[in-house]
Amino acid sequence: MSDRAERQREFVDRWEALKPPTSGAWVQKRRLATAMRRVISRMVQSNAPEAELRRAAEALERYSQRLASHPRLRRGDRDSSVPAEPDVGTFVDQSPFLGMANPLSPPISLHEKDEWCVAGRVRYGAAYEGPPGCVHGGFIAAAFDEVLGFVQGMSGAPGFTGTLTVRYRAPAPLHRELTLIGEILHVEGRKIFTAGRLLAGETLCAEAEGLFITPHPEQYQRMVDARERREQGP
Amino acid sequence: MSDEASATFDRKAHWELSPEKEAMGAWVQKRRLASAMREVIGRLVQSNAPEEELRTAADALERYADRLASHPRLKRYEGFAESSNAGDVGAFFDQSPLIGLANPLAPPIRIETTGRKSAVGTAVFGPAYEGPPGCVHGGFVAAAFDEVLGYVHSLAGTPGFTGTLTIQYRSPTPLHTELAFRCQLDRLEGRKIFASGQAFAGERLCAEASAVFIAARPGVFKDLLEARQERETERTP
Repeated sequence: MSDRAERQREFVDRWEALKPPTSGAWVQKRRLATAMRRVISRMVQSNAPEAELRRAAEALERYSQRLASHPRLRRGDRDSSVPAEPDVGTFVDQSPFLGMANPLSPPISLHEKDEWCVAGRVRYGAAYEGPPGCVHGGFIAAAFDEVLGFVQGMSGAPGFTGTLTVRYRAPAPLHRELTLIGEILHVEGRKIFTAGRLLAGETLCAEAEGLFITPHPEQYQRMVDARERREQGP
Repeated sequence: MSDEASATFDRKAHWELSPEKEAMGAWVQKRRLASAMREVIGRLVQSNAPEEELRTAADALERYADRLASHPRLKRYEGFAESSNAGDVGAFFDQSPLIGLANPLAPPIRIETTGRKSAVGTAVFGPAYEGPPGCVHGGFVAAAFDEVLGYVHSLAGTPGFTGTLTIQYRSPTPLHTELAFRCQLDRLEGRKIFASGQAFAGERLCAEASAVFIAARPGVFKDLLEARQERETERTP
C-alpha cells in the first residue's frame, strides 16, 4: 500500500471511532455528555427557581472536585475502553463540534460521501442562539472549520487551518436539521483547498472556503510535546 | 418591538450589560451553575473517571434535565427577573454562547470598549475547546472573532448581520492562556460595515480577521422575533 493510501486508511478509521461504543466507561461518558447537553439547553431557556439552581450548582461543584481527583486521560492510554491516540478515537470523541463525549458539541454527525467529500447533519439547540431563533454566526464559522478540517484530512496529509472565509447567505434556524457539506477542491504541495456549504432544507445559509497547510511532521510532534510538558508541570 | 426599539437592539450597551450588570437571586445561581458546568466539562473531557461514577453522574444529570423542563420557559427578554425590568436584554447576552456568564458553552469572552471604534475581547479557553494539541480549536478562534467584531460593528450605530468573515491563522493559539481579540471598526460603505481584528497570546500574533457586516433593513429583528415566537409556541422544550 502506498504511503498516501495508508494514511488515508488511517484517516478513515476515525469514522469507526464515531460509532457508539458498546460498553464501559466510554458509554457512560457519552451518556453524561448527552445529559449535560440537555441541561445546558434547558437551563438557558428556563425560569428555574433560585433554590433549585443553587442545589444544582452545589452538586456540580462537588462533582467537579471529584472529577479532578481521577487520573487524567492520556492520549496514549490504551488501558481502558477509551480509544486513545494514535487511534484518534479519543480525539474525535472529544471534539467540541463532533465529539459525543464533549458536552460543548452540538454534536455534528458526519458521514463520508466520497473520497473527497463529507456531509454532516446537525441540529442546534437554544444554547447556540445568535440572532433571534437563529444559530450564532460564530458557531457557523466554527462548524465549517471543523468539517473542512475533517475533509482536508482525507487528502492523506492533514494540515492546520491557514485561512477560513465564511459568507453568510441566510439566517440558519435553530431546532432544525441542517446539512453541512465539505469537500476538497484540490491539493497543491502542502496546501489543501476546500469548500463547504450549510443548508437548511433547500436554503443555502452559508458558504465557506478553507485553505489548510500540512505541517512538517516535527511541528506536530513539538505541539504534542509542549502539551505533555504543560500537563506534567506544576 | 417597534422598529425604533429594534434599532437599539444590539447597540454596544447590550454587550456590556452581561458581565457588568450585577445579577440577583436566581440569576446569580444560574451563573454559578453555568460556571460549575464549565468546570465539569473541562475536567470531564480530560478525565479517566470510572464507569460507575460516570453512570451515577449521568443518572443525576438526566433527572435534573427533566426537572428543568418542568419550569416555565424564560422569555427571551426576561432575566434578572427580580429586578422586574422586563425587556432588559442583559439577560439575553447573559445567555450568549460566547460571552454569556449563564451559558456553560461560553468560555466566556469578556468584551471591553477601548476607543470610539475599538474593543478588546479577552478569554481563557480550557481543555474542552482543544483543537490541535494544547491549542484552541480554530473554530473557536473564528467564533470569538465573530462575536468581538460583531460588537465593534455595532459601534457604527447601525446593527446588522455578519456578511463575510475571514480568519487568517498565523500561529497556534494556546489553551489556558489569556487571549486578547483586539478589534476595530474600519469604515462604512452604504449598508456595509467593515471591521478587522487581531488575536494575541501575550505579544504573539495568533490570528487575524476581517469582516463585512450588512446593516439590517428596518424591521428585520422584529420579523425574526415574531418567527421565533411562532416556533416557540409550537415547540415543547
